[in-house]
Amino acid sequence: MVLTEMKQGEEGLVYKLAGGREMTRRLEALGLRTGKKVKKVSSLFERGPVVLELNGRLIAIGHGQARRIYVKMEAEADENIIDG
Amino acid sequence: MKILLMGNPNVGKSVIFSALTGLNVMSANYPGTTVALSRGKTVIDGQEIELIDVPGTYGLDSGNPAERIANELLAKHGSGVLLVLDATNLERNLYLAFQVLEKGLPVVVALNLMDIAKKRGLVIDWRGLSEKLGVPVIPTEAIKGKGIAELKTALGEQVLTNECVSSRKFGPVYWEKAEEIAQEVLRFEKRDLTWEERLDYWLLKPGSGSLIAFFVLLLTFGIVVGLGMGMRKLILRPFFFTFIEPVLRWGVTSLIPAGVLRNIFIGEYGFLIKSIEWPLTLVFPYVLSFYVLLGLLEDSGYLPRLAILTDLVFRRLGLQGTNIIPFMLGYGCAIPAILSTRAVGEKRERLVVATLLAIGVPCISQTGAFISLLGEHSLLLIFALYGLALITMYLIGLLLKRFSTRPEIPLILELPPLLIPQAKVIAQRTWVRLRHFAQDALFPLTTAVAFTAILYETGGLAYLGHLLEPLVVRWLGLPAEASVALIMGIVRRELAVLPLIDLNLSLTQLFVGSVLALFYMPCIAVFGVFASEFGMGMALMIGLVTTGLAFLMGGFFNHLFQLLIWFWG
Repeated sequence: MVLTEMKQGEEGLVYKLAGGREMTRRLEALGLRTGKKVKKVSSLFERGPVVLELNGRLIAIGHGQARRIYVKMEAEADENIIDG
Repeated sequence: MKILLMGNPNVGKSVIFSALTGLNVMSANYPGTTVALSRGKTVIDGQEIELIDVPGTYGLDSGNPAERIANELLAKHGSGVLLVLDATNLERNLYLAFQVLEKGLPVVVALNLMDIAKKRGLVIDWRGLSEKLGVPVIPTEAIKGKGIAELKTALGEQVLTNECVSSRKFGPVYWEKAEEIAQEVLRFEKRDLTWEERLDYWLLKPGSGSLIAFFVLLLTFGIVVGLGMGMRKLILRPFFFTFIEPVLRWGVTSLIPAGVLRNIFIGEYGFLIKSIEWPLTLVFPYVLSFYVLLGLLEDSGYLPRLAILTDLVFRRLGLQGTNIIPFMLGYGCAIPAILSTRAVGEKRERLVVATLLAIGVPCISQTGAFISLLGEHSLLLIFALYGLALITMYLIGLLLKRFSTRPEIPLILELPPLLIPQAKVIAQRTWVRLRHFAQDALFPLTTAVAFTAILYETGGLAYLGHLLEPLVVRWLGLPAEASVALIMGIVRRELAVLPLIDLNLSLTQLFVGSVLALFYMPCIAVFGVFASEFGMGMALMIGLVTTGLAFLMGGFFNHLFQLLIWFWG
């Protein structure tokens, strides 16, 4: 699941940053890396920026970039364990 | 002895800088770049120290202009570093800290924003942090002045004596180490959401957020106009006309015999009167009220929230939402607005923003003049005028986008916490901006008014009016005297408006004159900034485009109104 598909208030673990090098670098500089827990605070309209909470800070990410950030929801992770 | 002040952007670096150096700050561009550096002096233990405010960076290894400068300063000039870390965001701040510490210079760390961290339930073991970093750590709340004295002591004891050089290694994977140390010294305490955080959730929801943004902007506009009008009518106008004007008139009348010379001083365009009356009573009140309000918006942390709300609109123009900030600044003055686009970095985006600013964003001086001209009739006229400007900018933005296709500019933006603005900070910033206004405005304004006064009294203006008659009278439907606004408007934007006040214009003429003034070329100073930032060719182009647009729009509305009057008349 990607960030834009998450619902408001849901939490998940980042497992892949699929953007270009520049985007990845800027995200990592803000502390958004694989393995980090994020909470979706809101998304501004259908194709507007997504706001995340990360380590108690708010980060806004453009729609085009948020689409390329993959997260694993907590529930999803549990299911995988059961399946495995 | 030079100490470098370093840290991430938005960690209160500049607050610490001014707390240490007071007001004797010099700002200059770093050679060969557009990045500004502030320098200031402070005295510690009787020794004079130069403090250099290094541009905020997140690291030292990605090679953007700010980081290149930081690296160069570290290598060549620094004899020590005062490193400011954000207590609410320790992990990310440590990333930079490690890279600075490994340079082998003496470092003192200011752990700033401790109050906000505490409010958010963060408990930081700063002594433990100091041990892990191998350098002194001083907790500070710079905005309240807490910890500054301790900082000075630490700088004196450690940096001056070269004692606090960290001998630890943190790399090569800095962020892993940052995560590790942050976890060791940080503890979360359970707590309720603060009211700022609750408010933030409402600001960031699309529906409520847009509604709030609309009211915030409306309220801002209302207060700027209301406060300005109040100051003007209740204080400045009475003050000028009871105390200053009679004295000037009396002085000139008793010194200079009646005639052309006396008229140049106190006649129709008497420059001794107008060059004080206009800036003092018609422009200054709005400049003051605008900058107070802008300061409140900046300091509260609301602007980045506005940026993400407006991102969609800007994106249609191929720009990103953070450009709302140059636009807001532009309603004050286009010069700092154009300079602030440097932060965007990308040249094409900067040029588009600067062009739109030059076309449809009137500066606060001109807004003050518009309020004086139109406000007497109806504030709705001002709304109509500014609405027209917004629509025009939007359409031109779409047009500009067609000429340049390029990949989307990513928006990745950290939202600083919402804060209650501090009166002292707002007052200080407003004062600096007012001083800039006085420096930039008064000389050109006085000169332009004096020049016009001479032209008027010697008959030159009548001749010029005659020359421009086909354009001004026939095309725009304005009286021939209005051409003076076109001449003076080259020098200052408000001077394209103020001469219209005494002409007894009809409602149609008022609107046409205002449209003309609004789209007319930016002032001479903005022209200069344009030339230095984007080249002389671009500056000339902007002058042509804006002037052409102004006459086109002015003439269009004149004829439209004539047609409507004829139709209904």
